[in-house]
This record gives sequence, structure tokens and C-alpha cells, in this order.
Amino acid sequence: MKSTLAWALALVMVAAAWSVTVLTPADDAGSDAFVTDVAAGERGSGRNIAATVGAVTIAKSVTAESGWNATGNWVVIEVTAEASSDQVHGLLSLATLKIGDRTYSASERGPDEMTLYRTQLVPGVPQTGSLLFEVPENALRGSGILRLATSTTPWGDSILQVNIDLDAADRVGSTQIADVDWAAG
Amino acid sequence: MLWGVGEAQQQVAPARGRYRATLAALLVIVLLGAAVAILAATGGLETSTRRGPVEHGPQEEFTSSDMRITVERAVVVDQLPGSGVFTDADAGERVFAVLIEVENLDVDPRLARSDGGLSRVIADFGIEGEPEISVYGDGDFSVVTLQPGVPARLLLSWMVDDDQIGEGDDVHLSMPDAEKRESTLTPGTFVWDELPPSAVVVTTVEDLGEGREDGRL
Repeated sequence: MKSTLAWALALVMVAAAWSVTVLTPADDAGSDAFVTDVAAGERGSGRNIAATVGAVTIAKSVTAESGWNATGNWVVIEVTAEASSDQVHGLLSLATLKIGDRTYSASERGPDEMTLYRTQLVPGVPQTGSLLFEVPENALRGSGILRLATSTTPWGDSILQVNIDLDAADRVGSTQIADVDWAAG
Repeated sequence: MLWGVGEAQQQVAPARGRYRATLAALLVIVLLGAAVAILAATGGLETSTRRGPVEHGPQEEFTSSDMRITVERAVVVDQLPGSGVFTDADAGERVFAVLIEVENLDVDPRLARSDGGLSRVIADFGIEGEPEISVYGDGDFSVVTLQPGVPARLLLSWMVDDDQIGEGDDVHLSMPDAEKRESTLTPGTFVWDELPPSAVVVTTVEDLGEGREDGRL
């Protein structure tokens, strides 16, 4: 009887030890972000970011209002965004597009006013602009995941995540990119 | 195995057996020591392809620091708008620039200025500091990010004295090497550890005189 009790107790302790191992969060769990999935065309909001993804265009050439021009394989995503709470920490500093196993960051090429990337977002006053991604030609199919955040390493912060259907995107030879502006209405 | 033999003989002739066992042990120690010494002398068990920097010529493609690189031209010119280097001709300043084509072979975007990246290219004629990096022909000097799988033509530009380098001079460009690893301080992020240079490109400098206003060579 005593030995049965000992065995049972031992098994319970082994099971408890195993559960602790399983339940312990990973080393980097503290740095996990709060990811909010948002559908294209719908407004998503996080701690200090609110954004709506609009038209997606694939172009061989992009031209800014200033006349600056570049050829390549461009994915141009229209975004309307604002900060939710704090302008000081409201720089749109993370804008990435993941296609397959590769991740592309929004391009810094061209005049600053051509891209919403690294634009100061303002609480309650949305701005509209484009994010331009320069990708290899073979990446222009299937779907991608757009991630937006107001910190480059959003540990414990919000990330808005939008699925981008590249097959459904408009394909054009060249496209004119409007400068970032305050959103109408 | 040798120990086993020694032990078996100990029962027959204890003194002789102990002597043989000691001898066997010594032999094993010497052999192991020799094996370790040979391994250490030949660089260990890890497969290594590192044999010092490999020399390349212009227009020759090679891979280093997880980038596919081709050095196209090396030039010296009075001015190079858009390169990030501003010269004063009266002070005898010129621009030494290297035009390269580079493709990021990693899966993540990478700053051209990252550790072990293109800002670590060194020219051998004593120019100081890291080069300014710009996208060739963009006419817009800003942060340069290498997107994965997207070849880019970049200019690496340094300010030089007008008597420092000229037409026909050979220049050795030492190309950086690095390997990516996950940061131990901030898990989930990656850092590049610099390695000794893997390649040296030898090319001849062209003097382009005054240079063009559109920033092209």
C-alpha cells in the first residue's frame, strides 16, 4: 500500500515537472508583440496606431510628384494611418511585407514625402500615402503579409497585420505616386 | 580494449601485467595527444573553406557576407552629386567612388551600413573612414537598405586629396565578411558578426575629371 502511494506520488511529481517545462514561456516571450489581424479595406487599431490598407498596385516604374523615378518590381500599397494616443512615439517605423520566406522593408528611395514609411503619425488626424516595396520579379504572386507598427522592435507593442493578395493587385507599367497628405474627410 | 587485455594478463603474471597495462595506457595517452595535436594544427574538425582573402578582378562576381557582389568600376572625380560626399575643389578635394552591383542573399532586409556590410569596404591607399553609400543614379542620398533578392547598383564614395590617387593606379579593395546570428541580448533579433575579409578586388582607377551634374559616372 505504502509503495503504491510512493509510486503514485512520484508519477504526480514527474507529471508536474513536465507541465512546468511545457508551460514555461520561451526566453523571448517577453518581447512578443500584440498582433492584430486586419482585413484589407478595414480599419485596424492598436496601442498607438490605426490604419486602413487601400489599393495595391504592382508597377514596373514609379514616379513621384517631384518627378523622381525608378524602375524595378514595385508593390505600391495605399495606406491611411494615424496615431492612436501619442504623437511623440508615433513614427511609422515598421512597414514590412513578407512574401514566402523573405521579408521586405518599405523602400526609403526617392523623396521622403513620397512614402508614408517613417512619417510622423498624428493622433486623430489621419494621413494618406503609399508604402513602396521593391521586390524580385518572382515574388509578385500569391499573397504577402503587411506589418505596420510605430516601433522598429515592437516588444509588447501593437503590430497591425494585413493580408495582401498580390494576384488580385492592379498590374501597370508605370504609376504616379501621390505625396503623403492629410486624409480627406 | 587495451585495458581489458592488461587485466586478463594480470591474473597470470601480476607484475608483468601491470607493466603492460601502464605501457598500454601511456600508448593510448600518447596516441590521443598526437591526434589532438594534429587536429589542432590542421584547424579542428569543423569544415572550413577559409583560406584567406581570394583575389578577384572587376566585373567578377563573388559572394561575401551573404551578399553577391560585383565591382564594376573604380573612379576618381571632382564632384559626384547624390553620393553624400561634398568636395571643395579649391581645397584639393576629390571623390573616390566604387560602383558595385550587390544582391542581398539573406531572407531579411539589411542596411548597407550593417556590421560586416558594405561600409566596411577598405581601399588600400590610406583613405580614412567609412564610405558614404548611395543608390547609383537615384540622385537622392538617404538610408540604403538591401532588399532580399533584389540586385542594386550602389556607389561607395570617399573624399580624397587630389594627389592621393589618379588615372591608371591599381587599387586593392578589401571586401568584408560576416555571419548572421540571433542576438543573445534581444532574442528574436539578429546581428552580424564580422569575420576577416574574404575577398580582395583589384581594379584600375579611371579619372573622370570634373564629373557630371546628374551624379552618373
